[in-house]
Amino acid sequence: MVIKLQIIQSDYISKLPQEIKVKYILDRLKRHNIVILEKQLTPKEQAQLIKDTMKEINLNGFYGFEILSFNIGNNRKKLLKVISKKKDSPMIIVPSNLFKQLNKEEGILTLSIEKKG
Amino acid sequence: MIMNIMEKIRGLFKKRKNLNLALYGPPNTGKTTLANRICKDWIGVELGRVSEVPHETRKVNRKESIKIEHNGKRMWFHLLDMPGITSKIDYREFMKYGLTREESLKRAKEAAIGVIGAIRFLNLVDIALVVFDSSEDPYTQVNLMLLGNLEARKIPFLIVANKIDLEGSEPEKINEAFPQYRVVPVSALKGINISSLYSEILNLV
Repeated sequence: MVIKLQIIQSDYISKLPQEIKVKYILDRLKRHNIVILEKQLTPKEQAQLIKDTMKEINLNGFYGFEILSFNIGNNRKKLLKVISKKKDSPMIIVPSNLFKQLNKEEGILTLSIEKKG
Repeated sequence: MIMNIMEKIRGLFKKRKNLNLALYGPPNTGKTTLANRICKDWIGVELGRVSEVPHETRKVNRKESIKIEHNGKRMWFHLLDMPGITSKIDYREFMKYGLTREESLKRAKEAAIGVIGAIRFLNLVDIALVVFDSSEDPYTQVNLMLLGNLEARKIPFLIVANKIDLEGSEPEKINEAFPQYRVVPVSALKGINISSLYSEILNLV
């Protein structure tokens, strides 16, 4: 099975209105593509993405997504500092039917994917 | 200057009769158990049904005019128990709890509508309790998204580290993760440390 991974430069979507930006990402997730954004979505954009995703859920085997970034994972760093430092770090958005596991080590995110149906 | 502005904001809150107090969080963190505890403590009835199957609460449950009192302070609230917020809902997960395919699909559809409603309600909330399961990893993107949205909307909130009665619960981990916020460890189920929560809620207004 071929899994597409799309890396999107921030300049390419940063000036888009929120609704259009979210639709752009969601259209790719619905086609079971993994989306890597050069820069993080804001919390409001993430909320919009979740809201719009819920309208599309369970259609054509699309069950939603996982957002992965250096901000998440089981570590004990103080998160405020992490957030403020990592706003410009990439954000990976994976259709949930592909996501298997995320391993986080110092400075490295390892994403395991598997088609789950 | 900042103190004056804060006092004015507090004054505005005090003039209003009821504040919308909303319980947010991921699914299965004990929001409805906490809502039931609050309702039982102050009006003697429960608000919603609790289940081990995720997304038991699929629409916003509301109980009006609950008076919370602690140490001479009191305030009236409309309590809003929100559906759990998540970025994914797979109906097949519900089948693992014994639901039929049809029941699971229906539940998934209703849960998705519930998530949309919970996010839309963010615009109507005055105060939020963000309920985390203290036996789970708090560093999830949905949790960050939720806290970020409350901050962006300038909604005062507390983090409730629930389920401290569970073996493996680590409320201190939530404290370490979010040192900039007030974290109140409780067990909504057993009623542990609930009076501290009431005190903290009243300190927010």
